[in-house]
Amino acid sequence: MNILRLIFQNLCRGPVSFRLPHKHECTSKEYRGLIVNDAERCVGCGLCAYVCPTAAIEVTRSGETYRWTYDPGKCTFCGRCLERCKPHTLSMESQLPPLYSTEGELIKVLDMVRKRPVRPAVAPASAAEKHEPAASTQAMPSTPPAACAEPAVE
Amino acid sequence: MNVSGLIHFFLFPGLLFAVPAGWFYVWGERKAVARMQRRIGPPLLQPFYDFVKLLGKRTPSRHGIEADLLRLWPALSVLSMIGAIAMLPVFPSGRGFSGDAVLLVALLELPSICFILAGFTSGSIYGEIGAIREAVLSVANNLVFLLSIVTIAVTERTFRLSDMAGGSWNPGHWIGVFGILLCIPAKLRLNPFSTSSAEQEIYSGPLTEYAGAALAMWELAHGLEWVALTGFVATLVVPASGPWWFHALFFVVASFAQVMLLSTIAAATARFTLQRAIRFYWRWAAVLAVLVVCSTIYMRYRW
Amino acid sequence: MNLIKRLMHRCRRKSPFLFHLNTGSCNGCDIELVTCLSPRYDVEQLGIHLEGSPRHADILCITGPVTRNTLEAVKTVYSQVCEPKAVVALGSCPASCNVFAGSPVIAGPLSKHIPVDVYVPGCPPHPDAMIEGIARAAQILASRGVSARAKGEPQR
Repeated sequence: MNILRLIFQNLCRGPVSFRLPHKHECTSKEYRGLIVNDAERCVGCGLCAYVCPTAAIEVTRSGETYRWTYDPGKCTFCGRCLERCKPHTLSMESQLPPLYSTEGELIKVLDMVRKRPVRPAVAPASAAEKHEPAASTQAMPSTPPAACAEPAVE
Repeated sequence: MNVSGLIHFFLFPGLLFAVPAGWFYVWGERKAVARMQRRIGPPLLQPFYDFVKLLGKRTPSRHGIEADLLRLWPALSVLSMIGAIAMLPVFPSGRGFSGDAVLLVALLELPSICFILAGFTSGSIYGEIGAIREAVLSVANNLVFLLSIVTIAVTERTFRLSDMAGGSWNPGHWIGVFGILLCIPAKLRLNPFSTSSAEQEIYSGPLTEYAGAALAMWELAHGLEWVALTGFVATLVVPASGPWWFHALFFVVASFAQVMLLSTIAAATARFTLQRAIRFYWRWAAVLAVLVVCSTIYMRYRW
Repeated sequence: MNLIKRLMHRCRRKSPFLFHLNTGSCNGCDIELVTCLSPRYDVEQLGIHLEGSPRHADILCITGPVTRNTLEAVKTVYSQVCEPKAVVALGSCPASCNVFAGSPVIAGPLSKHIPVDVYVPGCPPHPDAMIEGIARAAQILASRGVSARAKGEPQR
């Protein structure tokens, strides 16, 4: 009769469900949401496009301008682009990615001018403690022309 | 037809009472099961919303005799259930139909038969499997159902519903009521006897090819089955004397109490396989058969 | 009559029946969809019910990149869902085939074959996002009614 006792306990303790509609609260600051690129500091190295497993990020170059394209519809939210981003300009939102109804609605395009990176590469405080162990062990094979070929000095 | 008969058919416990009551009992079962699983469950008007939404669907057009037959089965189920509910002796002091238990049993059987036939005429393999399961289960469970009715009839010495109604102190009467309660989960396709509409196994079984208004009628028939079966047991246990409003109130309260009991059983058990369900019913059929024969012999030689 | 239209709109919004179809998914999105039915999220509060047959359903929830083997099934099931209907693409696989894009056994993103109403991004999407996606699809199909889009399509 364990099940009857369990049922009685369930009735006494009440429901555990969220009352819908439920606003999702990201309790963790390491939640992996949409990728956000800081256009002022991005150097257009293309490392993020190189390591993205689904080709959600594309970096194309025309002359002195780089076009950084990100399609959240293809994104797996794995975070590899953040790990590899040397100037630490990529970050992830800590909220759920939004729904969309038309394909390609959420594609983000950024055009930026090629520039020298800030030396030493200063990361935002939270990104620094997240990515420091990963960024210090870089041995990248041939990459697109990168302005930050020297080892990053933290 | 006299006025009292018309009131029984259309007002209470007929159409106007039975349809909202059916929706209320279906909601009650879903809500009770949800609460027992620590969930919240659907809002009160959910079965009504489902019904109206299904009426508004655009269904595929079918041609031929099959199309008419497919539409016939749910309509027949709904009509027979309303007839059965109208026949229930809610007011045993002569205010209702003086109907026959045999007719009531026949009307209560029709939805099950229509379910089986719907499975076969729908032309889908899942429909066929579900219909076979329902047919086999129905044979086993009707044995217990009919033996219980016979037990009550033999102890009350009558097949008239208005005389069978009213809780008497005969043990045979209560054995019969218990037997009918045992059959109700199988007739309503509740756990543990829900093998004929096993969604995870056979994709909705006999109702796989139904859509739109016909499906709405099936859901309505299911709600009315709840009212008819629980109402039948309620009329058998209500005390015989009392004013008419007491009988009506007791009818509703006793029906709802059974809804809660059946929901608890449904939440507490898993689905039996067909073999096990049949074995369960055959064992109870054997017990009841022995009791009926003994009580008949006893009464024949005692009185 | 206006009252009947409003009643029908309300009922369609309040009672979305789902049919779930897995077209080659890794099962991550399917597990998260079943989580929505569990006591923690309990979508039955919104009247959502997982149905056994596509004919009973209003909303088709599709997971997985559409593989070659499941293409026929997707088209058949889509035509079996009765109007008004809505399609929700759960996860990033139906939206873009995710990591499988370009593979010879993938028949392409879902929108190449059937019209999609709501995309829920994520790999897998959070159950809150899925519930919001289903609710939005219910809203879309309620306002769509039995529309002109359906008139030319073969129903099976």
